[in-house]
Amino acid sequence: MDLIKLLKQLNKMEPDLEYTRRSKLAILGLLENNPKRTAWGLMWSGIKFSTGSMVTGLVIVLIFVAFSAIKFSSPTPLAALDPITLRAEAEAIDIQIKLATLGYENPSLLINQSTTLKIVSGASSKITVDKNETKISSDVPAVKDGAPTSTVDSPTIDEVLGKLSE
Amino acid sequence: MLDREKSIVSDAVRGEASAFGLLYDYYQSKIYRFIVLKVGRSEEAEDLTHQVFLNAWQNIKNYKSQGFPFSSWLYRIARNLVIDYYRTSKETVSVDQVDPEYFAAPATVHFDIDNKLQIGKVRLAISKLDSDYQDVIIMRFVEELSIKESAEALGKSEGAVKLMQYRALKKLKESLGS
Repeated sequence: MDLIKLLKQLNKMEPDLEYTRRSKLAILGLLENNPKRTAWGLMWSGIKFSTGSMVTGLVIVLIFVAFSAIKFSSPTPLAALDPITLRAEAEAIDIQIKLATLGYENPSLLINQSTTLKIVSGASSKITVDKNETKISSDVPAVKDGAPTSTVDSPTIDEVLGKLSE
Repeated sequence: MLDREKSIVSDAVRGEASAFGLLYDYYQSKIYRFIVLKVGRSEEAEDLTHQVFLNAWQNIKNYKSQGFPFSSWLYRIARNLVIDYYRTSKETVSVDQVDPEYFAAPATVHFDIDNKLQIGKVRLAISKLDSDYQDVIIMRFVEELSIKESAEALGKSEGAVKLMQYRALKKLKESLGS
């Protein structure tokens, strides 16, 4: 075969397509990401870095100061949120409630309650009810429309307690 | 030569990556063939081709158009890199000891078997030539550059290129005939 024709056929040799793509990207991407550095460029990047560092430091200090101010000036110290303290307080409240319940369930107080019921029933017996009109005896204060009906002359708790102490 | 090459090169000199991308697309396979025919191995040829375009892109601001195709500048970079490659390469094997199959056309090129063997022999014969003769054969007959373009790329006069071409072809025929 003719030598010149054979040499021309060598023109068909091509590099690998994947290699070509990667090589091109590497060359063009590399220089776009790493532009040549001038003195001004270096100075500018230094200024940007130091400014960024200062702003970051300032933000950290502000957060710390704000946190400290909240911690020390708050009316409810954060220590009060401790679960152990909260549990102790809850238990203490529970005890007070039990004591109060015990007081109301005292048998003497039950007598007192029956006495109060007697007084109330005695007062209510003085009220006579007619079919057409309601007449209230002079012993019982008149009840006006719209006024509360619980204005029965019942002894106050202090009076009951006073009687019990006698 | 690439259409509107002058303006594309001007854009690339100004730092436009897309313009250099166009030059890369057009010239990469030519530079690759030039290198692979000189060094033999496709992997090394790929590395050197990559280096040629990297050097070109890094130094494109120094490029001065003198009325020749941009390829002349790329070929000069490629020649220098191949010279450096052989200078620094520690492993040297005589071409006579290499199997001709090694120089057969790569799998990506579809030649028939007879043609593939002949191509392999031609590549082996080219690899035995002096570096300057290799350059002339590749530029003039593989890439079909003009005498003027070849002279510019090789840094020689047109008369010197014609003389080298004559001697290179003679040597190549002798090598293939023996």
